[in-house]
Amino acid sequence: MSDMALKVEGLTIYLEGRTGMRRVVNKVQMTVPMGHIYALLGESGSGKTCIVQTILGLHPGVPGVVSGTAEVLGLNVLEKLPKYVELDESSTPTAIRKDMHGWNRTIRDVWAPMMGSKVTLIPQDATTALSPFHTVGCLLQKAISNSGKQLGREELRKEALNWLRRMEMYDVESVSNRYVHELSGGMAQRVAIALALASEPRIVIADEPTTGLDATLRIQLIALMASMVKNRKATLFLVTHDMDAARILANEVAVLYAGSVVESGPVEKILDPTYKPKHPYTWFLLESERRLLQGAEMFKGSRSISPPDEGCPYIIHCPRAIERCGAERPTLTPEGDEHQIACWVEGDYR
Amino acid sequence: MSDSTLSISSHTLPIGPRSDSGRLILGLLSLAARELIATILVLIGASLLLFLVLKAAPSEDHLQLRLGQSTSVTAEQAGETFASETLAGQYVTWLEGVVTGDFGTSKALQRGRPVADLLKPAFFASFKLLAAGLFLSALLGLLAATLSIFRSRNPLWRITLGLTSLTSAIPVFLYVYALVAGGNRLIAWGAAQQHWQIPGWFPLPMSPDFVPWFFAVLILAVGDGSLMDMTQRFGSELRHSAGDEHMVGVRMMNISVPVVIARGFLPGALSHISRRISFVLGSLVVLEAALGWPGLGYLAWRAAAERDMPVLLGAALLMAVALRLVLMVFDLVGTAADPRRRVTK
Amino acid sequence: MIGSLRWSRFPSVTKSSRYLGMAIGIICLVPATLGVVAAAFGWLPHDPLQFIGESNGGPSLQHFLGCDSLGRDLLSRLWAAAAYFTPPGALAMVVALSLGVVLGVAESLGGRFWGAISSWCLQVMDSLPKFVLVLLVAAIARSNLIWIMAAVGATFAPQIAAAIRSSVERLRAAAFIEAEKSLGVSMTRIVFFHILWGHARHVILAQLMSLMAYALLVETSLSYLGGELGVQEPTPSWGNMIALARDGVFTGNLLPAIIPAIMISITILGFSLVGQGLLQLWEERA
Ligand SMILES: Nc1ncnc2c1ncn2[C@@H]1O[C@H](COP(=O)(O)OP(=O)(O)O)[C@@H](O)[C@H]1O
Ligand code: SF4
Ligand SMILES: [Mg+2]
Repeated sequence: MSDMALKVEGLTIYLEGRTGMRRVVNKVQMTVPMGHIYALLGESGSGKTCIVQTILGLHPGVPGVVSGTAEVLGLNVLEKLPKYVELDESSTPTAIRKDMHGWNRTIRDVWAPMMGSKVTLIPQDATTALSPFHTVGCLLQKAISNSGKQLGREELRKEALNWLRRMEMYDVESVSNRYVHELSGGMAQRVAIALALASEPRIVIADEPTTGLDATLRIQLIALMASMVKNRKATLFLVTHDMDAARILANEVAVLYAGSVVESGPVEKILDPTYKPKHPYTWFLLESERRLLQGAEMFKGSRSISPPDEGCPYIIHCPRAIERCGAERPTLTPEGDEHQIACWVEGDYR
Repeated sequence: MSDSTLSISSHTLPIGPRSDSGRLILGLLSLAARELIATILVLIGASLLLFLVLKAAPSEDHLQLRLGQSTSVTAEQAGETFASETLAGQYVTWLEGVVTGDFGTSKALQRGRPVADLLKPAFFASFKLLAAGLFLSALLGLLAATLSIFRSRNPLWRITLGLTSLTSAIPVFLYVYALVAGGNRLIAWGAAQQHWQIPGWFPLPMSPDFVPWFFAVLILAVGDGSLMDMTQRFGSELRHSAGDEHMVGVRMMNISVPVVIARGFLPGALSHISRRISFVLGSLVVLEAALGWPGLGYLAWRAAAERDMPVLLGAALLMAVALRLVLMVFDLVGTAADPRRRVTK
Repeated sequence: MIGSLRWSRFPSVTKSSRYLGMAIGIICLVPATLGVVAAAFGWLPHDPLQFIGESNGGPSLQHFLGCDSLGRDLLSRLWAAAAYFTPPGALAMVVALSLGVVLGVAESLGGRFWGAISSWCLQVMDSLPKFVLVLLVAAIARSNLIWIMAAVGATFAPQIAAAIRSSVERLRAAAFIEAEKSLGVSMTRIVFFHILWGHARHVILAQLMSLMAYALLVETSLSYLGGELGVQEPTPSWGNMIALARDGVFTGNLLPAIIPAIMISITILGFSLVGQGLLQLWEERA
């Protein structure tokens, strides 16, 4: 087994919208070493969930057209992709899906041995993403037995209650008898976290696990998650738009803008408030945070807009764009060890 | 789309500190009790509606209702006292009789025979036909829906499936006509070719032997739009169930996917089947009338043709009772299958 | 929930096949529509009630589809039947729409009391098998098609009401109605403009299409079965035309039975396909 928990290369995803194919993720590249905590930062709509769910074969929509490779624990889950999908990247997103249902089945078959045991997912919205037909206790017991432990009925039940207690829940007996729709959003989210950790996975993929929680609980649970993951030498792939969490926990971070990674590298290089950002978008993120904390005037308007087909995705907002930015898409290029950046203009930004 | 049926809209089940299965059974029992009351109210309403429709007629048809309901007086006397009662009084007297199983006596169909005697054997004959027809319809619809959603996207295959359900646009009476005419032609041809002797039941009508009975079930399952409707609704129900967001969590935890899809599918499918019963009962009337087979549908049609109101109303009420009871059972099953339908306090 | 429908892993149908279905449906309705128009403007080739041709005469230049066993022009009768059915059919739609809208709106927006009352009314109507109720009315009304179709319309009121209710539920879930109310939009406007027109339009139209299919089915079935319940000779109906010609199979005169049968089937098919297409349109927009 390789020492890479997750290795994504050139991942491009087209989704079928009402107006036709739309590129949601564009040539994403990430390597997550074993035992690390890797944060994927990006505003909502930038395609974070899409990346995660496509790699896991869980996308609730038609996964559209995908190209690239994704290795999870050394296993290339997109290996059979070319058999089912043909991508014509020459011009506008046109593509031929040979057999989408076959593809869905195949990726599920590939995932079957790992899913729920070696790799788990904390979904973005636990209230809708968890099974509505099972009680919380039942789900937890299933997760615990997914880890391969041989436990008796009573032990399983006790262990499930313990997991609820670890998630700072009270009245665990009653909670474990309830269905997910009978829980509040925060409770459901904590149950989802417990479910993902209970099966003792090698990789936990957390899709904005703390969005629905209040501030105190958020920090607490993130810390808990991190310590559990570290104790087990597992890998945490943390999808978030919460820079604090990324700063505290992560070893490495990638910044996603409109489906493209614009900067990636060690967290202390990218998210350090004293760091002089190299990419204008990263600068924008950090500067917004600084202004928010200092009560200074905020930026006007939103940065999210559907990117142009060619050239740099950030060109519409970028103050230092040059002619080349509109014509060619900048690729991630090394910038010191392990630090990569996608921008045509060299040098620090401001 | 799931435009839910006119079942009770909010299922409120009590939640106590009990084990899950105990809680479920308790909840279902209380739901059943409440639905029973609702059913009785609805059935009273149905009888009132039937009575009022009859009463609204310019003729004196409604007076037939009282005819012979009580055996102690002669029919004329009964009719006279009935006519002299107020509207509400007439309704109550009739309802009293109906509840005690006295539907009056037939006026034209089999003059003087108690309606209950006519209805009972007819009911069982028709019930078998109806249940088999609905079951086959649901089975074929499920098959077609599953294939078109989960299996091949080959256009030829899809066209075949589409054509299959399009055959259901043909009305039941045309199918019956084709069946009888075709069957007769076949037998006549065979006899002319000396392949076989002319059977005893040649030419019309066919008797409800097994083979004709099976064809009748098939006609019920397909004709009058049954199959098309089933396929379409089941397809949309399945699509929702299989594409629901909770499948992310289900797949992620390695929970059995078919079971979850089935549980999500069941309540909607059952409520659709129960909505369909009303239509299939209509097809049943046409089928039995066209074939001349004895049954509730045949009775209803003959009664309407001969203006035999006690029989017609009895048949209608009996069908309404059966329909409501099935609806209730389906609703309970659906609630047991899907916890989200149990709104908790 | 609402969002997840659009991006379902199992898209209902491809765009082209949906429009194909709608197109086929509309084409199926053309012959009947032609008949209605022809009869309305007096363009029928012959008088549908006159015995003018030879009995069971085959197709000729004079009689395009031949004559029935009594020597009446088949095409004229076919078209006249469509025209004769149209006003009662329209009445069925009007009855279903008005009853359904009144009861549906009262049920979902009328507060506790009126809600319960109208819900009860709808359940009562739904608990009686549609065809049997129609039989009752047909028996009483002595086969007057106007009353029969009014009854068919009334039995479809629950379907219309259900469409309205599910619309209201969806809009409620999205806190739409409350928001509108808080903006001071009048209730009448919300009901008619936003709920009925803006949201439930497709479903109601689809239900009306399936009502038309059912109305035609009921009329032809009753007329075929006879028993003085459906349309009576000499007034033409596709149902009684088949009934008259049904023994033709044994004498080799297939046309007078088969042509009305085809007309019935394709017209019902047309209504169903158009209704289905509308539903799918709605499912996509939802
Ligand atoms: N099933 C789908 N079909 C088509 N487009 C989708 C689908 N799901 C998401 N999208 C689009 O993909 C983009 C990325 O969405 P998502 O991955 O959910 O973003 P994030 O998780 O970063 O908030 C969005 O612009 C969204 O509109
Ligand atoms: S590539 Fe050009 S447009 Fe893009 S961020 Fe760099 S300077 Fe701005
Ligand atoms: Mg997301």
